[in-house]
Amino acid sequence: MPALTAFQQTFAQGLLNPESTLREHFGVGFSVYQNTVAKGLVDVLRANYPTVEQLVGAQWFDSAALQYTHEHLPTQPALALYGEHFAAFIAAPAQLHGLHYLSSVALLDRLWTETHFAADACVLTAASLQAIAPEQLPTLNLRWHPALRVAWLPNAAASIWQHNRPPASPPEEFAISDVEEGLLFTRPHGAVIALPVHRAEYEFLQQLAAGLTLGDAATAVLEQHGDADVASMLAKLIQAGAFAALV
Amino acid sequence: MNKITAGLSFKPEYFDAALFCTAAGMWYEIHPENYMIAGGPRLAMLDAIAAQHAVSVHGVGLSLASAELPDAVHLKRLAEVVKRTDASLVSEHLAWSVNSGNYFPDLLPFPRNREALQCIARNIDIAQNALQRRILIENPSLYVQLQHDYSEAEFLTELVNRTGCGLLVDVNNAYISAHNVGGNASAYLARLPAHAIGEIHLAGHAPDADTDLLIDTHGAAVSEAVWSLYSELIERIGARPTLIERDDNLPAFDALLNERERAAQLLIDADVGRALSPTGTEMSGNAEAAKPDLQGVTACLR
Repeated sequence: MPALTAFQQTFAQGLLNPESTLREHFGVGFSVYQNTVAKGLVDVLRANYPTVEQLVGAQWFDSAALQYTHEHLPTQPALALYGEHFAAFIAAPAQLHGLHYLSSVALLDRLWTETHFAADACVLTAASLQAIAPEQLPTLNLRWHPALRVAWLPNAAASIWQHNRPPASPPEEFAISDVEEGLLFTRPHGAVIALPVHRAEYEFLQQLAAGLTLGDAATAVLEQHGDADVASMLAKLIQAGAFAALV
Repeated sequence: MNKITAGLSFKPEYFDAALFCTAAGMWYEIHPENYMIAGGPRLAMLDAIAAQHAVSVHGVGLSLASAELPDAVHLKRLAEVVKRTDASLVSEHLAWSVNSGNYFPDLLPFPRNREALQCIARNIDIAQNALQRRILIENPSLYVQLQHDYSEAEFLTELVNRTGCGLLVDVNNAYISAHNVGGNASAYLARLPAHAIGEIHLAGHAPDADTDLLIDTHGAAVSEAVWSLYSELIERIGARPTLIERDDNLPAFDALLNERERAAQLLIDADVGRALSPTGTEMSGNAEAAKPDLQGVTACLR
């Protein structure tokens, strides 16, 4: 093996190991590199999961984030989307934080980030839909805007996330009810917005994503949710910038 | 012809002040890795800045000092940011950060020997070919003593000769390295080839809490010792685009403008001292005028 390769492999392995003997070999300066790497990665996770840190505090967050970096090193230098497995990681039994909804909150932080950095595209407007002949509407295929993300969660994580996501300061008292909740993220005017959705709206979006026409998606939703008002749902989603402009 | 001026690190926190800043010849430096994203407000911010000001693209992730080849996908994305911003300058580091497919967000050291020289020259060639332009290579801040066959100045000079790359001289890094691993920063700077120097960085540092080391924090004002080395350097080589580099512990934008003004004044003094710098690199509002001569670079590529 070339000497430079061997040097870099040894150095890289030592960077992640707090007990590494390379510190004796290279001197105290080696820990400067160890600290810089650890801080760099933990800071990216901190930026990408601010609501998780808000809920568990910096000490628990730093410890979990550091452990995550050891198991999931980035594979390339663009770190805007680093931490994609963090929600699953903190759901593991080894991560004892005692908050059953924490992984769901992490998922919502993740979706916020994905929406924030997603590709640009023109949004579908109500006006452009109104210009289409009414009989053609049911045959339309509505495409999700690239920045649309939506989650349905088996707990109250969406409310918790909305009350705790910085810069919001956490409420002094917050009653957690264990109802299922949905939240969607879009970027209709540049900034990310989060909007609660009902189960029917969530399913409607899933049907459209699966390739059903507007008419078929509406029928499928009405089969499950007889009282759903599809026209209102569609108006709400369009106003939120959920769909890409028709091509 | 526009004057060679001083610029600032661009941070989203400063967006409004940075965008509308009317200081003559203001330019901004960005880390391209932060903009390797599909879309959204961060890219819109970059586009707005690049439409108003010259931009210098300063990479941290190319890992030129790796035994491995530069990552082709990363190079392509770097080229996209360079194109998007119509970058006036493009720079990277004499360091590595990638090993066996893992990225370590730091600028890591290596023994300066013949093998490293060959690898790095090869990697700079690959990068310059992919980007179709000359890049500047920055001297690192060092924290460990390794077994070297070349001094850093010799090593950088060899890279310039072999690849046609330019140099980005970080005066603060030179100061820190001399403190941490020995040497004389002033003597080191005096040995760097003036004709190759295309940009200068000035930044603040801090003493490590646990050791005698100085840390390159980019989190404080430029120290007087570094200002003094800077004056000495530009008196020798003439004016060069100079960045006040600040990434942490961000002060009010005006505080950075004051530091930038100090550098700008020293650049004017250096220009007065040397009526016309024959080798100076322009950093102008007109990015076209500032682009390095590709013909000369291509001739040096092999």
